[in-house]
This record gives sequence, C-alpha cells and structure tokens, in this order.
Amino acid sequence: MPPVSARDSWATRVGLVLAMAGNAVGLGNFLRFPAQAAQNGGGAFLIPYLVSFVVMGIPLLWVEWAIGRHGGQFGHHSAPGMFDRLGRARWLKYVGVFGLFTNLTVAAYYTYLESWTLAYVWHSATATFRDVDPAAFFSAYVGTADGGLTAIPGPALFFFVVTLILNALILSRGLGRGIELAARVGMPLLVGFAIVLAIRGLTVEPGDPGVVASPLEGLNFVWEPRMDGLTSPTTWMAAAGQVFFTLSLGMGSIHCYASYLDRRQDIALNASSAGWLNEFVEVVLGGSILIPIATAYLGLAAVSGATGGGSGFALGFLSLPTLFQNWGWFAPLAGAMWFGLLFFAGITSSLAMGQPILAFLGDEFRVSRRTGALVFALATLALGFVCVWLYPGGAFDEFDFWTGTFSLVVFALAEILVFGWVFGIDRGWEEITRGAEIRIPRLFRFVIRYVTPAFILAVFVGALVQPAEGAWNAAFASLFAGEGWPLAPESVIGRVFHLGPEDAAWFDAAGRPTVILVQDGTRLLLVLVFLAWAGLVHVAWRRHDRPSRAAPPGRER
Amino acid sequence: MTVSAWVMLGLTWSVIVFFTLRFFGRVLRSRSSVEAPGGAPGDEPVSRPGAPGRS
Repeated sequence: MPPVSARDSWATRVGLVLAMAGNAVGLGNFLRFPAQAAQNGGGAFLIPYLVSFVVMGIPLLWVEWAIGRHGGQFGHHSAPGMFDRLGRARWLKYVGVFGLFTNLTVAAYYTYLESWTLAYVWHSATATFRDVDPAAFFSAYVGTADGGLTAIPGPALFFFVVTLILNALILSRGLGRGIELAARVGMPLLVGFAIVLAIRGLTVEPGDPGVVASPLEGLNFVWEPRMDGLTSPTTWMAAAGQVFFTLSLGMGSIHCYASYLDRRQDIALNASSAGWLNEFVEVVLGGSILIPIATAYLGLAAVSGATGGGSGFALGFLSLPTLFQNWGWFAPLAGAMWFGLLFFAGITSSLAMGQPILAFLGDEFRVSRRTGALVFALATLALGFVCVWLYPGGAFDEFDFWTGTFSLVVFALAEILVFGWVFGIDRGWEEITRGAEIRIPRLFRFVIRYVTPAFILAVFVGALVQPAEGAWNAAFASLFAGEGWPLAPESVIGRVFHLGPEDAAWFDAAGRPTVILVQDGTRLLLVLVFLAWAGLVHVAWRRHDRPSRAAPPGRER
Repeated sequence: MTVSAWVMLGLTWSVIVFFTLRFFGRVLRSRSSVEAPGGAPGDEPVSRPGAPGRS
C-alpha cells in the first residue's frame, strides 16, 4: 500500500468545505459559546466577537490555508515540512512540530470527551436517565465518585476504545472516502438535530410539565446587550479567545486539509465559506439550544450560576439529560439527538487531528495509510489512557489547558509572524489571492502583518498574566500603587507555579500523592511528547538527504 | 425578551446568515456547474490526483 499522501485527494469542493467546517465545529460551539456570551456582556459580547472574527479569525484562516496549499506543492502535508518551505532557516521545521504535537495531544483527551457523547447517545436512547440522576451517573462514569486521584472506569474505557476504532477506520479510508464522507453525512445531521432541538426547546411554555420559566428568558440572557462589558478587557479577551478556539486555529489541521489542493485552487472563498458556516452553527444554532432549554426548566438564576465559569459543560451533560425527561415519548430521541450532534461535532474535529499525523508518517517515513491510522489510534489510546486513569487527579484538565489552549496560541502567533515576516507579505499575499474567487481587500495585507499578530499577542499575554477574577482595571491600579500584579491562579504563570493551593507539594503529610504530582507529571509527559515529535522531525530530515531545495516545476521560490 | 436583545439577535443573525449564504451558496453553485468524471453528477473535483514527489 502506498504512503498516505501519494493518492489522497478531496473528491468534491463541497466535501472539502464541509470537512473544514466540521473541523472547526466542535463541542465548544454548543457548550462554550452560549456560556461565554451570556457571562461576558450578552449581546454586547457579539461586537468584540465579530471584530475578532474579522481581524483575527478570517485572516488566520486564509494564512493557514495558504501555508497548507503552499506546502502541498512540495509534497508536504504536515506542518514541519510546510514551515520548512516558508524560508531558508533550518529552525522553521521545528515551528511545525507544534502542528503534530498539538493534534496528537489534543486528540488524546478530545477523543475521550467525544467518547462520552457516544456513551450518552446510547444511554439516552435506552432511557437510562429516566431512572438515574445524570450527576451521579457522570461521577461513576469517569471515576470521580470515590474521591481518589486515579480510576479505571470500564464503561468509559470501552466507549473510548470504540471511538478510537471509529476514528481509525474512517481515517484509514482516506480523504475522499473517509473524512469527506463523514463530513458530508455528519454535518447535515448535526445541523438538522440542532434545528429540531432549538425549535422544540424554544416552543415550550410555562404551564407545560416541569417548565418554570419561558425559554425566551434564557435567550434574553444570551442576547441582551450589557454595554459596560465592551470597556472591559475581560470581555475582549474572552471574545478573541472564543473566536480563536472555535475555528480550530493554531492546530495544524487546516494546513493539512488545504495541502491537498491544487496551487491554483481557490483559498479565499473556501476558507471564508467554512469560517462563516462555523459561525452559523455556533451563534445561530449553538446560542439557541442549551441556555434557553435549561432556563425553561431550571430558572435563570440556576443557569446563571451553572455557566459562571464560562462553560456550559455542566448544563449539557448533567442537566439536559434530566430536563429532556419532561418531553415524554420524545425524551430518548431528544437526548440521542443532543449527544448525537455533539458526537458529530466531535468526530469531524478529531478526524482532522488524525490526518496530519498520518500525513507526516506517510510523507516522511513512507508509512501506509492503514498503518498510520493504527499508529495514531494506539498513540492516542496510550496518551488518552493517562487522561482516563488520572481524570480524577486532573490530568484531563492539564491536557486541555496546555495543549488545547496554550499550545494553540503559541503556534498561531509563530505562524502569523513567520508568514508575514519570514515568508514575506508580498509572497504571502500572492499565495492567498492566487485563484481567489472573491476579492480580498488589500487592507488585509496590513491586517495580516500587524493587526492579527497584535491581536494574538494580546490574547497570549492576557492568558500569561491574567489577573485575579479577571479584574484588569483593579490589577493595573494595584500595579501602579506599587502593590504588585494580582495574578490569577488560572493564568499561565499562576498554573506553572501552582498559585492558589497553600501547600503545592507532591505528597501530603501522610506520604500520599497529591493533585500537584498529577499536574506536574502530566506536564512532564507533554514536554516529553513534544521532544519526541521534534526528534522524529530531526530524524526525518536527516533521512531525506535532500540535494536541493528547488521549487516544483513551474514554480519560483 | 427585551427590544435591545431582539435587535442584537436580529442584527447578528442577519450578518451571519447573509455571509454564510453568500459564500457557501457560491461554493454550492460552483459544485452544480461542473461534472466530475466518475463522481456524482455535479461534483467538482478539487484536488490534484496525487501529491508531487519530493524535491
């Protein structure tokens, strides 16, 4: 069997755009966005959100598509090779290591999360939640019920393995017959399920069984503009962060998908189309399901409390399964549709994490697609097992923060700087606009070179030194008063130094391991994984023994 | 819902639906304008058949 990339291609343009949109659409569209909007100014949140989308999201999409298509012309379908081709410096390929590291490590915990949705589809369809409290079910499912640091929950492992097998099978079928087919089936189903649930949820009325408030109160919670939020840096940081993560930027997966395009194939329209499709699913559909339904049955105060941390996870997994029981015969179907749409959102994203790994192994080590899919599944299982086993101790959260948040921002900042300043904005602009089927305003040359990097830098620095309780004005006042900067424990620096717990020791007084040991051990593991990828890239380039760095026929470098 | 909430919702949804239909609609139209050999009628092939060899 030939290596991965030699035969792979997209079958249709719609399939490509749906696969890209599916990559972007994830669980966060339905669980994170509505909570972030409601907690950060309501309708006013959408102003910084859309500004961030236009000056950071869309330009970064074009840049990632352009880097991918450019690298593909040289036979590279993963980030190290693509970045190697952006300039003459040898270190550039190591920037691309992020595009492998992030995909594998995010896949490790994300496929575990995805497997929960699959398990919940099963349990919803079989009416488990008619008799069992979802909160108690969840704690037993992930093994947090006994309060220890470790657990090996059998059912969770079973569904995790099933999810990995599904991913590997689809990946092994290639782009057109695997990933693209999954997107062409999964995305319409996802949108269809979301529309049905939104209509059903918004049409319940006070007086219906279990309804304590109008769902429109929940919709109002999401959309009523609180303009004072516009002057808060916290709102802008939250909006920029949400745009960043919802588009799956800084992963390396967009690059990979785009690398299978012709050099004259459109980027501008395809990328814009995929980006706006994601916004439709997130803002129009994602904003109309979770909070309105939860508000109708729990009341606004409870929903406001449950989304206080800017996440709708608790509502989505712990509350909705119970609330659906008020819908009579439709309850099992509603639960299956809710978790089914989350599953489709998840698997179209996790497939995008697997393809760059397969492409790297195929391009650089001539590994066949099937073997690559197996290697990806096994590596994800090995790393994911850490998330399963140490979930009660916090390993899952460590993966989520360092790989699913921090690493993405670092990679995106590096790539926009490399693209605008090393590759050069003139060549970059030519790359983005070649074959474009829509006209991109020249203003975006300036945006890509200066504004987008500044935006990402602001997000990065903001995450680095996030002040306690997000109170930026109070933090600056404290700084200028000579009282220092009140770092939040959840800031990057705060996490590194374990701010918050009084005793950040690895073992407690009785000699038992603590959460701190789990956190530091997980971080060490992630560093080792990064170094392993860097080592593989090093080995691959030594093996190449490339005689020249010439351009492909018909192309000047 | 308050009037201001309806206004924000209406404006934002309009912008998003407009651009989604504008861009994805063009992609869909281009799909129906080309027949791909061996593919489903109307599907436009987007990729080259195989990646070029390494330089």
